[in-house]
Amino acid sequence: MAEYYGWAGKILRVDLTTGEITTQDDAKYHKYIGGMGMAYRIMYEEAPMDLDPYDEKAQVIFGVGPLTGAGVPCSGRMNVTFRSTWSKGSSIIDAHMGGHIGPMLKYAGWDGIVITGISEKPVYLRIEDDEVSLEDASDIWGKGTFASNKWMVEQNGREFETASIGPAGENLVDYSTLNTSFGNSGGAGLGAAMGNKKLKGLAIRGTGSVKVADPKKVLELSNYMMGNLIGGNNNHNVPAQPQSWAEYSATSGKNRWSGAPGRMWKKAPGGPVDTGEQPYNDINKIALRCFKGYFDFGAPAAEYTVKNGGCSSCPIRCYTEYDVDPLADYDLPTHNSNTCMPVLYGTRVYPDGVHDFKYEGDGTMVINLAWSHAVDDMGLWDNYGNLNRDLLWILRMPREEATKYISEEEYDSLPWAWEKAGDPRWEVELIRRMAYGEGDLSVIAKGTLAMMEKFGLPKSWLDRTDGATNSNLMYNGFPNHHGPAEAWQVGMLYNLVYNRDCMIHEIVCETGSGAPYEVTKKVMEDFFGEGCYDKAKAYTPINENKAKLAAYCVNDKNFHDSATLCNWMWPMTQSPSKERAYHGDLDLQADFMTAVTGETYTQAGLQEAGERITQMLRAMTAISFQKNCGSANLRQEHDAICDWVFDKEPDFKAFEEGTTKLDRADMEKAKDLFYDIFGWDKTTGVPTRETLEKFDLGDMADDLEARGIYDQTPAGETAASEAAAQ
Amino acid sequence: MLFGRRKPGYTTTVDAASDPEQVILDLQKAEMAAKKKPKAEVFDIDAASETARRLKETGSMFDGSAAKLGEDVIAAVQKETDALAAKQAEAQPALEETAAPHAAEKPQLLDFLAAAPEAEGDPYADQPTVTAPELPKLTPAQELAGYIRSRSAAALVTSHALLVSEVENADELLAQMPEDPQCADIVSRAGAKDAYYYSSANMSDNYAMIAQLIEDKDLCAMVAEMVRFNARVYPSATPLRYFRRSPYDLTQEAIEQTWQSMQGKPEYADIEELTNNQNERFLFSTQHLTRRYAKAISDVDEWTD
Repeated sequence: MAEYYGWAGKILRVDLTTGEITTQDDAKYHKYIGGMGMAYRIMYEEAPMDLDPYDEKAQVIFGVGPLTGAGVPCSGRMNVTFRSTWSKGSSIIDAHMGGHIGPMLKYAGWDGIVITGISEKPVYLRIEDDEVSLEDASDIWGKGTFASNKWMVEQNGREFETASIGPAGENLVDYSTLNTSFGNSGGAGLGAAMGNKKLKGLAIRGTGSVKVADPKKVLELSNYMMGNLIGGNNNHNVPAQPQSWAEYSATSGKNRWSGAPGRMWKKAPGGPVDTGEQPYNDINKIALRCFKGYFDFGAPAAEYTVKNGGCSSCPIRCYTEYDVDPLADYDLPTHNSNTCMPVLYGTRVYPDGVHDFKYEGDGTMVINLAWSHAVDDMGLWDNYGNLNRDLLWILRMPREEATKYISEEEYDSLPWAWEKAGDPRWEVELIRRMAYGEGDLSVIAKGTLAMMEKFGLPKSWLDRTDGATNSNLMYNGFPNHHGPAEAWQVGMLYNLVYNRDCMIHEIVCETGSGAPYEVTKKVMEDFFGEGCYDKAKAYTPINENKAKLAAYCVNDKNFHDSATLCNWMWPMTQSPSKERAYHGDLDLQADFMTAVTGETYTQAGLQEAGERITQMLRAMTAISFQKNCGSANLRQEHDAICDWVFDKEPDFKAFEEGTTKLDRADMEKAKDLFYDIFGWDKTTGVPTRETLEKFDLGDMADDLEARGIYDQTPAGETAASEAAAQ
Repeated sequence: MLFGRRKPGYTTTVDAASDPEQVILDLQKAEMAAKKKPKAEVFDIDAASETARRLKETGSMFDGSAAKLGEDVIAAVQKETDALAAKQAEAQPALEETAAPHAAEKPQLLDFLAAAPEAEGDPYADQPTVTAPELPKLTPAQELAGYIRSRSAAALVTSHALLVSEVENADELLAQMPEDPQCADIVSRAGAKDAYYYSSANMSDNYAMIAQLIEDKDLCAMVAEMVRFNARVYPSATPLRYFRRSPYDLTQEAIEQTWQSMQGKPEYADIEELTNNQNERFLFSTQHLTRRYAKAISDVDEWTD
C-alpha cells in the first residue's frame, strides 16, 4: 500500500456471506475526498440502485476522510452510506455519527469499511489495526445497545470503541440506528441495514495515527480558529445572555452559546460548576460555552447536569451528561447523555401533557431524557420527529377514531393510565412496541409513507397545516429539518437534494445565533452576494445569489460528510470577534485540507469536490426513482413541495413581514435557478450529460442514457406539446 | 513519551518564594505593557481575561465577587492571596510527609522530565524561550486605570463617585488619562446620576450600557432602554424573563412591578406587551417594531435540532 498524508490509504472489505475479509488501496477514490463521496462512487460501481435494499449484494459503507483523526477541530465524524427502506424511491442515503469511533477507525489504518453479504448467524466486526475478524454476537443478539456495547468492551478491552444496533435494527424496523455508549448514533435505518446482514456491531481499536503533511501548520490553523473564529455549538457567535466582553447576546436567551454566569452544572463531581463568562478568545473556556442542556430545557437542566461531553477533536462538547434521579422512582436509568432530537420530542407522545418531577419546570426534561435513553437502548430512530408527530396524530384521537387505524384490542392494551399520569414508563412502552414491531401502531416506525399506506391516508395528508403532526416539506417521507422557516427559499432548495432530511446547518448556524440581523447580513452578503440573506419572517423574492447560496450549502455539506467535518460547526462563516466585524473564514477548511494532505486545496476546489458528490447523488436518485417510482422526472417525483408550505398562515401573504410561507411561482423560479446552477435539466431535474462529464462522471451519463432517463418527457408537458401540435 | 516534552517557557510558573502581592502587581504591569497587541490577527488571549486567568494561576479565588459587592478589589485579592499562601505553608509539611514513603520509587516529575530523552522530530524544539518583558513603572493615572480595568474584567463599571471616595486626586488622574496612550482603553459613560468608567479592552460598549443602566437603579428607564435597544438593533421583542437573567438578575415580582409602573407614563408610551404562542410574555417598542411583526418573530415555530 502506498502511504499518504491524511488518508490511511486503504479500505476494508468484508463479505458477510463468505466471511472473506480483504484490503483495497483507495487512492482511486481520493478525488471523492472520502466518507460520503467515496461511498457513493463505490456503491454506484458495485451495488446499483436496481438492487433491493435488503439484497445480499447491497452494501453498507462506513467512511471517514482525510481530516478525521488528523487533529483538525470538530472532525470526529463518520459517514455511513446504505439504501433507504422508508423514503420514497428506496434510494441512496447516509447516516452520520459523531463520537470517537470514526477517528478510531482511522487510527486502525482504514478509510472505510465496505460491508456486503448476509451472515448466517449474528456477528460483530472486530478491528484491531490490521487484525480484522468476524466474531460471534449470539450472546448479545436481542440485547439493547448499552448492554451490547458493554459486552463488546468486556470481550475486547477498554481501549476499543464500539457501536451496536439494538432490537429495532435486528427486527428490521426502518427507523433504526447504530449507537455508541455515549448517545452518538447514526440513524436513517442503519440499524435495519445492519440487522438484515446479521451484523450486530463494530469493535475497533487503532494504535496508529494519521500522517499529517504539515503538523506545525495544523497547529497554527487550529490556534487561529480557536482564538478568532470558533463560537458556541452551531458556531453561534454571540452568547445567549449578556457577557461583559460581548457587544451582543441572544435577546431570547436561547442559543447554543448557552453557558453563562449563574448557569451551573450542579451535579458536577467536586461540586457545582458555574459556566461563567467565556471571552471569545480565551481558548481555555471554549468547552464551557455550549451548555446544550440549558439550551434544550432551560433552568431545570442545571439541577441534573454532571458535565458536558462530546466528540473526538471537538472543544464544543454539545453532549450534556445528566443524572436524572427522578427516573429511579420508575426503575429507569438515571444517567443519560445526548444532544439533538432524542432529547427534544419525547413529550410529543403525551397528548395530556407532562408534570414536574422534582423542580419547577423539569417535566419536559425528565420525560425527554427517559425517551432518549430508551430509543438509544432500543436503537430506534425518530426520523427527525416524524415518529413522534405520527404517534401524536393517532394518540390524541378519541378512542373511536383511533380504532379506525389500530385494533380495539391494541388500543386498550396501551397503558393509558401512565399517559394520563405523565409517567415516563408510557413512552418507554411505546418505544418497546415500536422496536419489536408489535401491533398496528408500530407501522409508524416503518416510516411515514408506510403508515400512510397501511392506514389508507391520501397524499394530501402531507399537505395539512398542523405543524405538531406534519412538517413534511415534500412527499418523500422525511420532515423539515432546517428548511424555509429558517432559511427562506434557500432552505427549501437544499431540502430538495437528499433522500432523507437535508442535515444542512450552514444557514441555521447564522439565523439561530441571535446576533443582530444587520451584522450577520453583512457577513453573509460579503461572502455570498447581495440579497442572499433575508430577515427573520420577512422574506424577499428569489434571486440568483440565494440560489447560489443554496448550492454552496449542498456542496459544502457533502464535503463535510466526506472529509469528515462536523456540519453543525463548519464552515467558519461567522466569528464572535468584533475586530473581525464578526466575519469568519470560509477558506479555513481548504487550508486544513492542504496542511493535512500536503496537496493544495482551495475553497473553490472543495466546492467542486462537493458538487461531484451532489451530481452522483442526483444521478443515482434518478435511477432509483425510475425503478421504484416509475419515473425519473425528479422535478415532479422527488422535488414536489407540500401545499402547507405555501398555504399556511392564511392571514399573511408570502413575502409579507411576519411569515415564513413561500410563494408557489417564486419557488418554481427558484428551482429553475437552482437546476441551472447545478446543470440539471429544467424539466426533469436530472443532471445533463454535459454536467456529468464535467465532473468525470461520463459513465453515469452513459448509464442514464442507456436507461432511457434522458429521453423522458413529463406527462404534462407531453400533453401540452401534443395539444399545441394539434 | 506520549505527548513529547514541554519546552521551557511554555507554561507560566510562579516562584513560591515570591511575595504574592508583588506577583499580582507584576503580572498587571506585564499585562499593561503587552496590552497593545492586536487582538484578532493572531492568537492572543484578551488582556481582560488574562488578568483574571493569571490571578487564578497564582491560586487566588478571585472571581470578581468582591468588586460586585463594592469592596476594594486589590485589597480583596491581597487578602485572598495572603490567606492562600498561609494555607499552602501549613499544608506543605503534611504533603511532604505523605509523599515520603513513595519518594524512593516515584521520581519527581521535573526530574523525570529532565532525564527523559528529547522527543525526536519535535517541530517546536527550535522555538526560543520567551522571556518576560521589562516592566515599566506605572504612573498614578495608569495605576488607577488598572483598577478600573480590573473592575471591568469583573463585569463592573466604576462610578465616578466611587473613584473620588477612594482616591484623593481622582479627578486629576482621570483628566490625565486621555493624554496617556497606556490609558487609551479607559472610557467614560454618562449615566443618569453619575459618570461611569470602564476599560474597552475588558468590556464591550453595549455591556457598559447595560451595566450603567443597572448602576443608575432606575428600573423603569432600564427596562425601556433595553426593550428599545433590542427592538432597534436585533430586531427583537424582549421576553420579560430577559431581565431575570444575569446581569440584571431581577425577581419576577420586581419585573412585574416595574412594568406596571411604566404603564400610563407618556415617556414609556411606545413600550407594549404581547404574548407569544407559547404563552410567554414579551415587551416591544412601537418605535421600531409593529405589533404584528413583533408577535410573529416572538412566536416559536415547530423546529428540529
